[in-house]
Amino acid sequence: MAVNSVTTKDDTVSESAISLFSNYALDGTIFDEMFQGNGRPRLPYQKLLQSILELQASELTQRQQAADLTFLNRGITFTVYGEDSTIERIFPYDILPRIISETEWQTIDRGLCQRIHAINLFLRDVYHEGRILQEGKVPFDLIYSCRNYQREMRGVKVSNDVYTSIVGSDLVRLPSGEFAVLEDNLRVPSGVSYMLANREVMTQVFPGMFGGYGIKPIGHYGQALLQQLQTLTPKGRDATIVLLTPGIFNSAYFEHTFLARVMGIELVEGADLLIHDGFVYMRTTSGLQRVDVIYRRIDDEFVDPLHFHPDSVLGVPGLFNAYRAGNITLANAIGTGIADDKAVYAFVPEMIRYYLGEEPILQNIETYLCLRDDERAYVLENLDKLVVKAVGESGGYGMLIGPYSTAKEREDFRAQIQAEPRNFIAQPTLSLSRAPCFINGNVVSRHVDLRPFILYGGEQENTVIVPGGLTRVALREGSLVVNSSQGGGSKDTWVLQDI
Amino acid sequence: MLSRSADSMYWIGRYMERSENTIRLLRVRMNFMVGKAAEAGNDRGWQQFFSALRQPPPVMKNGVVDGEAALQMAHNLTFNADNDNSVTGSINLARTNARSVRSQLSSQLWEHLNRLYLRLHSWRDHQNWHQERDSFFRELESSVSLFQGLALSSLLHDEGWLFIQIGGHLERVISVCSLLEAHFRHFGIDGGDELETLDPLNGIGVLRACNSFESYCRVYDPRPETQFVTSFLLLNAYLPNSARFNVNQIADLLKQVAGATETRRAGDLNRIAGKLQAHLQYSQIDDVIEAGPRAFITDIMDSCNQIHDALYETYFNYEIEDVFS
Amino acid sequence: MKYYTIHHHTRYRYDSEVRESTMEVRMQPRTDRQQRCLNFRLEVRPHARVLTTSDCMQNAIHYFDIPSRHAELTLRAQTLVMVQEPDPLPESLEESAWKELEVDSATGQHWDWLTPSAFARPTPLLSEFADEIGFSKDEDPLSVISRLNQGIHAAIEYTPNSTAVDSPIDIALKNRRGVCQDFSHIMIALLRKAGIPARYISGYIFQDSESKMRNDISSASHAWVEAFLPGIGWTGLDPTNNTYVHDKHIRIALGRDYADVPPTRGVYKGGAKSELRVGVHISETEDEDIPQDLLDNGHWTIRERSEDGGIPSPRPDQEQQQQQ
Repeated sequence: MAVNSVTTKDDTVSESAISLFSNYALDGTIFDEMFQGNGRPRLPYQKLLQSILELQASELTQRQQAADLTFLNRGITFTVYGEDSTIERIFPYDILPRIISETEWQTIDRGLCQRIHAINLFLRDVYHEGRILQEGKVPFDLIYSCRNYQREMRGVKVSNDVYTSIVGSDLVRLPSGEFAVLEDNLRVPSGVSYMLANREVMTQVFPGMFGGYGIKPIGHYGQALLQQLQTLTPKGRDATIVLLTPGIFNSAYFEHTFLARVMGIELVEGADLLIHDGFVYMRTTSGLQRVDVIYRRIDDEFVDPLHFHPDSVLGVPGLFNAYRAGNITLANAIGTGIADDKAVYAFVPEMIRYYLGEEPILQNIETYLCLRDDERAYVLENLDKLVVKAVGESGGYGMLIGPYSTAKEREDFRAQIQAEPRNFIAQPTLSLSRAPCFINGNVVSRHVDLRPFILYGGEQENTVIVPGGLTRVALREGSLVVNSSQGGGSKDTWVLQDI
Repeated sequence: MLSRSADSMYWIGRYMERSENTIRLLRVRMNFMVGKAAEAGNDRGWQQFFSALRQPPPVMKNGVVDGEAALQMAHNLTFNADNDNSVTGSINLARTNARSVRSQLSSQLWEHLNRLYLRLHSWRDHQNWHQERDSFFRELESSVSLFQGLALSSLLHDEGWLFIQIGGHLERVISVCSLLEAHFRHFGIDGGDELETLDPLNGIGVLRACNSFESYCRVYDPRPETQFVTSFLLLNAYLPNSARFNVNQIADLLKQVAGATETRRAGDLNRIAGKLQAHLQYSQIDDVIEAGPRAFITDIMDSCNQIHDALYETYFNYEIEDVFS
Repeated sequence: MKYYTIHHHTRYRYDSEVRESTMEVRMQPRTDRQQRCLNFRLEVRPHARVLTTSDCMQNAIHYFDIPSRHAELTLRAQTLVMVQEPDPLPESLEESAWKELEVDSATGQHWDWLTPSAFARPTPLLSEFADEIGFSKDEDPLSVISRLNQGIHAAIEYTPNSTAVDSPIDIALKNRRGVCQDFSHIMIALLRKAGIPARYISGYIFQDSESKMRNDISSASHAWVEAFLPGIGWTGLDPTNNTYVHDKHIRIALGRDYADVPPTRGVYKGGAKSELRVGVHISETEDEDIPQDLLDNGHWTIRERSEDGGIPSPRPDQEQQQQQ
């Protein structure tokens, strides 16, 4: 049904304002972030709705354009390499914020702290005693066969036992209104710069909007990240920390420069670093300078051509031996990818129970492992209803969305699953919640998810999550894919105080 | 500072200066063409112009420069991104370098450069480019100048800034030398005594192309004579476009860099710069005439190349063994 | 019990100067149940500080870097090692040993030794080969292994330089020629297929003049296989020589296959062609009397390096000492 009777506190709303919402769809089977089932706005959104209704569509359009221009001028873009020209594009941005109440946020915050702590205990266990595998709580072949399992990490002491300093977990909101975890990104998660840039741009184009909401600040992320990195070395604040980027052609390069800038650390490429007598140095105009911590934004297999990918020119030859000797700290540690394998994901609730003796605060999405015969049979039977995912892929690639798939696509996946069952999992097709977006002069509802950024410090209480995260939007009507590579956009995310 | 960042800073300085020079030459040439299009001097003007920008000579048609083709070349020199010496090429490269040191630049400076880049690209397919080119070049020129101003006012004057300045001044010496070189070549001047026999109108063009005509008029008789123009552009201590002025700056900036980095490897580099500085400081136009103007200029450019190489050996890409031994 | 002194010299020569060499060396014999490494020394020219660590299989690693320009790199490793004769093997095992292996594999402890690895992986040619030599689980595991040792030895001719350091097993299977590395990889792949944990051993074999006549292998650097048998443990088999491992086999490193344990692995900057020479001398006494220049008798390989693009990028020097 469409919202045909938008109701606000004082009920004095012009016709033209209401027509803004004339295409806004509500559907009882999908949680709407702004409206309750009866068309009344949820409490955290009341003020926003009021503000929207007071503005004209033309004014919203102007501010949207101003926001786009700001992104473009600041170079907050990614590069599209075309045949005869390269184009810079901004990530699509929606100007209506996504709002989360303090109570909702507290659950998310506690749930993620619990989850990431358990995952780190798991990583430590797997690369040392392997108790959880011996006891059969997690099948050992699932771990050992994982592409991201790094044998060489067995027995390697990781600074403070912190394997994942930086995590981005993807949450979705179920029809019940509950948040659940869809996946954890434990290797080199990206997106945090867009969270911060969205807020900056929002403050600029909507200065008036922020008054009186009590929005929790997020601007301290850079400092918090720097502090977490400093705790990884005994040198603390005197440590030399660098951010290692694959270089200017990487699609996340903007983020790398952004983070280096807010932390005031050097942004280095592999060729800027070298190993001598087991220590890491960077080449500066004043000579070589010792490096203590590397926040690396390149994947495991590229960090050291001597050890991993021999053709990699991105990494530093000999880095792994310096790492193994404890002379350099890498964040995140090597080998964390086993825990964000989509099949291993299914066992995270078990990890929480096993290591912490607690029930998970945030639920997982029900997951079928294709390597198990009975579950595979069910998946193959129901390809048209399920979402199938390749376990090692991200960014919305290697995915089959059953209800929207063609017979040909399903047959392709059927063959792939049968050939390599370990590589696939399936989940029910989720009804992601929908939030209001301003598109082509109308306020319409689109599916969203939420990626909060977790800075893990070794214990749950040393973990920092800046309130909010990156809300990603599937801008195409009806689409469930929020990835920027596939027509997704983002919006500012507000966590409110005291509602 | 990271060696690679210093390298990028240096090239930001060079490419921005290069784009400024190209824009100015384009503007001067195009304006000149409007008034004098049909005259014989036009041919030589085009030839000098392309030569000064290190471009291939213009296409000839019926014994004279093909005006249409020359205009097209000028358009390419503005917008062809594949040509490092074109305005677009230089600005693209400056921006690429700026991206890689984005964390060391101020937001104002970065955003200004980024806007300049976007503006340039939006002009590329502009239909009425020829009609509006004067205002276009003026806009670009002031935009590039503003970059220098913003660098001055918004950056920390530490190593990074010093390297931008060094790059800028070095490029400027090379530009003025190339311009004079092209001038002499087209007049067939090798011996110094021929300096006195030249066409005054081209002197004005040369001075304009260096933004120095007005300054010249305050120092000399406003009817430019080639030997005075040469002396002015090479040896004047106060003209911000002269070789000597810029070499003074370079030598001074290099000393500051050596201090800031506390490096012991800068000896060679500072010696080369110091020698060039002294050479220009104590040379007079008679020395230029005696050495031959083209040889004199070639010497300066050789020294600039040595400074460039020594920068790499000292700061950007030094041998690791020197550091550990 | 035997004592051996081993001199292992390696020399890389580059046709133009290289710099920023980083190298990792696996040459120090293991110390475990059957042997003890009593002394190990590694000298590097140009001079470098040699550091030590160990990998996840507890193999000793020596590593170093040379920042300066150089056109030649030499390694001189000297080892004193004590080796014990392994315990005698029974004639055969119970048939139930197969069951025990299955139970064992369900614990995951031998996962690395039961799963295909880079060089030891099943191929259609390998299946044909297995049928041809009659490889099957029709007897107890020990008898099967012993027969397999003979089978491979008989079917493939030991031919120095017939394959390269990174050749897949199919080349040796097709040509029926190979070096110890191929013999070992083929055996490992077959054992794993049969559910017997198997690992690759890189080491040396001591040959007195008599055994040099008998065995036709050319080099002291050698590779063989260890298989895990219930009730016995890891058992060494040398398919190149069709023997069980005895006190003439000196174990340096163990891995899933050659890729885990090359004697040297390095990366340098600079586009140069490299030439590698290796010489190994083993003597049974602790006598220091060794020939002056082992390199003259060593085998050698040359590898072309192509540089596309002007910037010298770090390239892996995968030019390895093949285990013959």
